[in-house]
Amino acid sequence: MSTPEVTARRLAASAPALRAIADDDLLEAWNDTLAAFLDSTSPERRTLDPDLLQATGLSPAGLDRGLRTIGAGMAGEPAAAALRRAPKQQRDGFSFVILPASPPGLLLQSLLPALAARAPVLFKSSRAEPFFAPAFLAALGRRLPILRDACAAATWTGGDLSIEARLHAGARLVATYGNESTIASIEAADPRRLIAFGPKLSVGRVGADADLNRAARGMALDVALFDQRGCLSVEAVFVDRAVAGHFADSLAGALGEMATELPPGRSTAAERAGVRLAREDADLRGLAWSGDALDTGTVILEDHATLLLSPGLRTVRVHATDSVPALDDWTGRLQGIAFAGRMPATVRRAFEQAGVSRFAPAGQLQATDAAWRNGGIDLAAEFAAGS
Amino acid sequence: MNALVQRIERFISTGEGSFDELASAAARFGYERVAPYRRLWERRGLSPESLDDWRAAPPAPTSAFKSLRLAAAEPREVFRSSGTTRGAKRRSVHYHPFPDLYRTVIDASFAAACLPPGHARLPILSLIPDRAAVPDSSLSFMAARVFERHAASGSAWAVSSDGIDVGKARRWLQTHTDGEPVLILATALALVLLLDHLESAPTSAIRLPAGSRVFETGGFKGRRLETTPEDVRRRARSLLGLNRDAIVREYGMTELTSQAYSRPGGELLRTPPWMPFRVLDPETLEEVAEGRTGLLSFFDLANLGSVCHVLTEDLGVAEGGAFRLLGRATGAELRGCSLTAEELGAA
Repeated sequence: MSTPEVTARRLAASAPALRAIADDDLLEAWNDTLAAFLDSTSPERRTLDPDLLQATGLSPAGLDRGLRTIGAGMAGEPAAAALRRAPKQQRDGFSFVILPASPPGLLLQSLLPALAARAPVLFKSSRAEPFFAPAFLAALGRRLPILRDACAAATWTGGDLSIEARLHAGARLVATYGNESTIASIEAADPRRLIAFGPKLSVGRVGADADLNRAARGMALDVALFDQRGCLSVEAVFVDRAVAGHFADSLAGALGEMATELPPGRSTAAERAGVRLAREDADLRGLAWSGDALDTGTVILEDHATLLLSPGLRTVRVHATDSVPALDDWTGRLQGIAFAGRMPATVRRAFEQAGVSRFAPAGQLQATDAAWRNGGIDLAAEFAAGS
Repeated sequence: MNALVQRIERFISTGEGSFDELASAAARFGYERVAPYRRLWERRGLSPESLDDWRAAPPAPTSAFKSLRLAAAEPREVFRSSGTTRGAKRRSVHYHPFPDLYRTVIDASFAAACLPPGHARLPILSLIPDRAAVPDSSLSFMAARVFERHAASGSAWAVSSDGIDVGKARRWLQTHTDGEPVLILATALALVLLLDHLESAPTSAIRLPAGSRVFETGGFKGRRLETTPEDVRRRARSLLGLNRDAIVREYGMTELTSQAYSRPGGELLRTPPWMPFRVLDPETLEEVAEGRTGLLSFFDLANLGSVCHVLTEDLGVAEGGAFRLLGRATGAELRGCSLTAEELGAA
């Protein structure tokens, strides 16, 4: 059985063959593979889903909707445009991408830029979810066999220096998702180049002129997808003070409906406890909150505009505000904004200055496409860049 | 002084009185004196008249200490947490109108839990800052009281304005390898820093006298270290020449006045008679059976000045009258697209 180091050497040597692949051939294989993985009735998904459901804890509907949301915008013309515009890696060598345990399908957001840049990549899957990446890469390799030697996925317990030291040292680029300790340990390994997609959260913004029921339905989807475990999951909503109470009620209703459409998946005791504490805290502070079972959604109508972390399980704080939210503590930690209604330029600027990389209408925040640059980083250009 | 305070002090010091009776009185005291806590009762449809058991008094989540002034009278001490969650504004504040209760608790529990038998006074090395450095730290208040009551001559604080003075600590330890047992007061993080230093220093091995103890409290205060509590204890035993039963774990927090302790060398934590614990189902807040995981809650009589019934962010499981700490509720960590295998709860 090949070790990650041996695999990496094989990948590095595949660069010339990868560069020789025509965009059209690559696009056809990509689109065909992606279509199979977005179709829950395909042979690939029928094989993959039982493992993926067990690993992620998502409900079947939640998994299917999540994968379709994360992947739909990466097929067809957006993918073609990504392939066309990307600079290409000109030297041999491999890159190393460390994937998080959740959400599933995040592989796609780094794989397409890597293919576009013709960059061989070794993906490290989390041991908690070691299924999606190898299944997708195997399916891609069946459609375009040269890719079998250009992209690979492997799983081991993170932090095993006997495996990782050589990978960090040998990779042209290391890109990692993960928490702060994961990133710190990789920084300590001193890779040649490191891109870190650290933990982030997303928020919503609703103006007084918004259609509140529609905004609530959209926001509920942005909250509930992947059971609020992604960096594009909405954790709090800043709402024009005049309509905050009305919106909070609408959002609670929408989350209740969403619990039927996208049933919550498995939750941990720590998550359930976190939601309970948030509800108890709201009671003690005299705040209005709505929610049924702990995992189906909780809406807390806050009395201040300071952003606080959500304990998860579809818990959202609604902050009534008539000014620009104070975001100083969150610079570099905000990923996206789901908006409804007019967003004043001052508010948008505040979010941009806090490092937000995605603005999308409520309900579409997690539906990224191939043009989205996570954290503002052009990953294809980074893969292609020499070192 | 309030008569209830005196009765509680007597119960803590001598065991005289009925806990159930004092707890019900303390719960009513909180209702009457602490307006935000009264609001929680009212939202639950509870009143002192309807209270037939202290367990029915609503527990206040520790987060309330971050956002509300929970004070039954004008505070004489104010303790603040070290602010491990995001943003300085989220530090817990514990207003203490009755700090003598805190002293009484320390006097009644520390020696029995932490000192080697027959050594009421012994040389102490503290890696916990003294009160002059951190006047609003409840842990420093405790350490100061421990010094006052139990420190023999030659005891020392090995903390400077820059943090732990590991060099001073090492020198102190090297001069205390003979004679009577010693006591080291440390947070887990301070202990790691000391052990790292001892491991890297080219000095002869330290073997502390038989019976020496280490009081270890807290986690790593938000610092991510590549170590585990078990590893820390193993290294402490190895580098300081300690017995397996030398380390006493303390469980305490700014929001509580009393503490739980492990038996020497043990893992399970035990509360004193004036602070029973319960493990509550997050879904219902009903007490769960032994062996089932839930949120830890405490009814601490010594918290009379704020709120006695406290719902913590810690998860635990009851085992034979003690509890095992299992982790924390989510809420204080940014996790989007960075969940670890453990956090995802997958096999």
